[in-house]
Amino acid sequence: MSSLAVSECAQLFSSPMDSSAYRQKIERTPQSASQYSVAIATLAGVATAFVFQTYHSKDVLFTPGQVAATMDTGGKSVSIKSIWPSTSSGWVTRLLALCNCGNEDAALKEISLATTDFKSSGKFQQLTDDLMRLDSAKLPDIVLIGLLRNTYSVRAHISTWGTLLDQTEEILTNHKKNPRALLRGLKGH
Amino acid sequence: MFFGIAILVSHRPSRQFHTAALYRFGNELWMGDLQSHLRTCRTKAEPTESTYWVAPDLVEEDQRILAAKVDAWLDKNENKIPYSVAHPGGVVFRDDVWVGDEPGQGLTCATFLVELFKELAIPFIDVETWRKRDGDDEWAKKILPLICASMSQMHVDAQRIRIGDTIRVRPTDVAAAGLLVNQEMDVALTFDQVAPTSERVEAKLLAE
Repeated sequence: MSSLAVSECAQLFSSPMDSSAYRQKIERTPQSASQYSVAIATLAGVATAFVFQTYHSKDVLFTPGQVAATMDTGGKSVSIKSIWPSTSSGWVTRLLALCNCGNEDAALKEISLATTDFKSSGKFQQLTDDLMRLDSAKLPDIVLIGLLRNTYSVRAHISTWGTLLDQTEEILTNHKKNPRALLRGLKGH
Repeated sequence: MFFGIAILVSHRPSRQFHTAALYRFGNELWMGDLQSHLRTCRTKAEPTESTYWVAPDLVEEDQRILAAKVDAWLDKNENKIPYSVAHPGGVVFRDDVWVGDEPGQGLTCATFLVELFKELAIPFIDVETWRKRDGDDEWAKKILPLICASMSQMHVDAQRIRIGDTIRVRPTDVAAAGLLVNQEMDVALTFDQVAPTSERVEAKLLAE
């Protein structure tokens, strides 16, 4: 590692550029074994217009509460209890809308802002309920990881956090990704 | 690249460095940092020959989560974070919102970034292993008078009393950690791992 030092610190910009340069992507391109420079490449013609769709949760209104049913199946009594999801919280609605239109970075920020509010207010049960309401299998992988990382510091207050971690690990494995790399720091791999 | 660490020599005669998050969000490249007492900043990255950056070896997912998080932090804590050259330790952020109201509590440009990684449980720097180095106390004694005008007297006094008893994570430590972290790391880097590279970063930047 002795040669690392600043030889791998690329100079941010080597020449003045006009403001339109910032609609460009920045890449580090190796020029030699020990020197890197910044390559700026224009994303020509990439005008990304995200249409924010309003999520009409009113169309599907669930009744909050617990439902218990007992069925008699030939002498055996089977009891089923289920908790119906309540109406989605605003942040969940926004999160799903952002995921639906592919704006994952905005979804990640929504998670960060929302979880900050939950943690500040101490409304961990609401946060737990909201996390339970999300269908892990339908969320982008990065959003699942973002949910875990943004709630890590309060995981002790979220009864389902371990379940979400396990589900995410399974989903990542199914998607041929490396859970160890993606979830490092979150569990004792 | 979605998340990098920027570093620059902010005042060469006094060997003063500054570090900031360099991140991509909303298809724009931003710099976000704690600049001084109760002064956070988020600006579009400007062309400059004096700013260098390090691209940590992090998976893209972690980079994007870091970028979204620092952007949210700057929303939630705009101009609310005290600066301290002698943070006594303990809680600074509670659940992403600054709560360090005890006199003397505060961050530096460097510990702002350390806390960012810590909050997301992305292994980076283990502050518990940090040790005092030559020049740390002198730096604190030199900087405090320069920035104390905007601080309460209690905050200044609390820092002054603690100089010599607290550790300092340097901006070059953060840049060095940015060079050393990798996707295989399960635990944060220790002082002994970071300090030698930090020295080389400092020497190289001062020689530029």
